[in-house]
Amino acid sequence: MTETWSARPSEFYEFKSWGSDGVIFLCDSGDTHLLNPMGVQALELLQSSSFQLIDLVRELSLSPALDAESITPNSVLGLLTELYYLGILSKK
Amino acid sequence: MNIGSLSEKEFISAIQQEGVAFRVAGFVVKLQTPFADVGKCIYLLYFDFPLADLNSFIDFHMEIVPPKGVRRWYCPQVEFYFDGFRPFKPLPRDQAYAMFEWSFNWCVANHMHNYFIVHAAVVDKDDKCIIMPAPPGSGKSTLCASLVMSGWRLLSDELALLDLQSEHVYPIPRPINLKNNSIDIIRNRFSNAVFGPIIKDTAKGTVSHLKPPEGSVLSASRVSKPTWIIFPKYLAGSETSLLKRSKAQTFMEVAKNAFNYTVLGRDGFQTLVKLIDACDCYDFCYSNIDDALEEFDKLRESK
Repeated sequence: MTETWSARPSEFYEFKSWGSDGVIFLCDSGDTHLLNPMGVQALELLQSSSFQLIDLVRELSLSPALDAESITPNSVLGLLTELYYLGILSKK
Repeated sequence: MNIGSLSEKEFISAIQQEGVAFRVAGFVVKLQTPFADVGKCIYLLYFDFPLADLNSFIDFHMEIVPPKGVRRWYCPQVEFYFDGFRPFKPLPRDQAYAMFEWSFNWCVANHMHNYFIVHAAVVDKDDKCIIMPAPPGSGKSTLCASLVMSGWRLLSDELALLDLQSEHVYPIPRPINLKNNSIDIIRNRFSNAVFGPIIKDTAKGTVSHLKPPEGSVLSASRVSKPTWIIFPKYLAGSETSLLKRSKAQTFMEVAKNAFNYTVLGRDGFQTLVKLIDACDCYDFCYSNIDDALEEFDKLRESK
């Protein structure tokens, strides 16, 4: 739980958001994924700084664009793990 | 000099002998076929298209020919060759013209990767265009034909060609492929509509091709600015509705309808992002063509 998460350099992917939704293109695989509002907000935060899970949960909870009740450590960890395995995030 | 500047007899004779080269917007096609009926259809539907020199650069060398062997006579079939290569299995002989049109789509979609190519109808007014990606059966071609017969410029019924740098849409106005009930809907509504023959029992049902308006053909070198992306859906008895849709979801849907999104990789992503940025995105549901035309005119006036 003390891992620090951050976005990998943008050479690995292309990211674009329109308001709450977004899309991400993975350069290695050529795959494109739709990001939900939590994914967009999380990625935007992780592109600007590194976060521990609990800090990221707190930041996301402050976002007016997200339903605070859906932002739990488990849901955010699930998202981070998915983005990590897609090659978008790194963790230390 | 356009195709119509030859007599039908001269044109058919030329296409049966050395072949005929003609320009379809930015492409030069050379077609050779021994079938007079195919020549007749091309003459009718491509009447306004400019002829090209057979010695000029040809983008697509096409042949529509009978197969070798018994199927030349028994349950006759027809084959399509592209640069001497046969990409498809033969079709029944009476589908020869339809095979030419479908194969033409295939040639463009599979070879012109200097464009981002989406399976979509595109119509334009005042050089602002509506891109309408949609799966078969959605009423896309019926709507496209209605708009075009009502004064909109046809850019394409099948292929939206986006320039990777400028993000403009390049016209490729060709005959509109109408299917099943749509043929009579357009024929009954627009008395000046010119159709090729009715071709029955194809994989897509009964099809017939609507001649593109002369104005669209003559302005085929004029690019258009993508302004709207609309997903049309014909739903019998439904009220006309035009509802905004999420840009990210539109991105995914357009990517799914693109022929070369994955081929273009990062360039494809960036081109599509710019397209989505530039357009208002809608779902459009209709059952009445008058209402649909009115809605599209309102939309155009809003910009």
